[in-house]
Amino acid sequence: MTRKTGTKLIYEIDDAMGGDDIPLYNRGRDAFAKDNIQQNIKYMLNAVDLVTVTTPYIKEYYHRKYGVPLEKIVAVPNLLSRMWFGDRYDVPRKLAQFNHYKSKPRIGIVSSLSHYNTHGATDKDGIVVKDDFDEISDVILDTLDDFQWVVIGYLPENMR
Amino acid sequence: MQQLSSVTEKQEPQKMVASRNIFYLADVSGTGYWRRILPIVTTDAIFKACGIINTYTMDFVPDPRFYVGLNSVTV
Repeated sequence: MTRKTGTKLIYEIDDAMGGDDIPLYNRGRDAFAKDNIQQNIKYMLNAVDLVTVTTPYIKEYYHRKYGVPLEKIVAVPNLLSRMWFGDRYDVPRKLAQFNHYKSKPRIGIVSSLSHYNTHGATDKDGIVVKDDFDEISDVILDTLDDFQWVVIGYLPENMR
Repeated sequence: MQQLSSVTEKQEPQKMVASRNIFYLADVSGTGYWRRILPIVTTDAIFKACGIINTYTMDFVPDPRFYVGLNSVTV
C-alpha cells in the first residue's frame, strides 16, 4: 500500500524479538518463539524502508539475527535533541537544583510491567526466575540513605 | 463581490505543511509512552511550527486513500 502512495514505511523497535533472547519471565516469550512469528518478523523487517532502533548494539543484532542490511537500520538514541529544547534549558536553575540535592542525588527508574516477573514464571527446574528489578533491588535497599530512588511504572510488593 | 475580496485579503496565509506522518503505537505503557508519546508531546509545538504534522493512533486504517500524501508511516 505504501509503495503505491510513495510513503516511507518505518519499523521502530527497541527490544530483541528472537525467541531465545526474550527473558523467561516475559509473557510474550512463548509467542515469539514460534517459527511462523519469527518468519513474519523477518519478512516485516526486510520489507520496510527503514528500521529504527535505540542503540548500535541492537542495530547489529537485527542485522545478524534477521539479515536486515546495516544501511537500512538507524540507531536513534533515547534523548531529546538539543536543537529542540536547548534554549529552554536553564543552566543556573539546574546548578541550583544540583547543589540543593547533591548530598542525596535522585535516581529514576522508568519501566513497564514487562520487566517484572509478576506472575511467578519459573525455569525448567521449577525455580522462580529473576526479573530486571531483582537484579538491582539489593543495591536500592542498601543505598536508601545515599540516594533518592524514584520508581515510575511499577514497584514490586517486597520493595514497598 | 467587494465584500468577498476584502474577507479574502484579511485571511491568514495558509501555512505550508512540510511533512505529514502517521505513527502506529503498539502500546502506551512502556516503549509506546517513554520513547514515542512523551517526546511527541514535548516537541509537538516545535514540529508544528516547522510544518511537520505527526498523528499517533492505535487504530489501523486499512483504506489506501488515507495514506496518499503521507511522508511516512511508522509501525
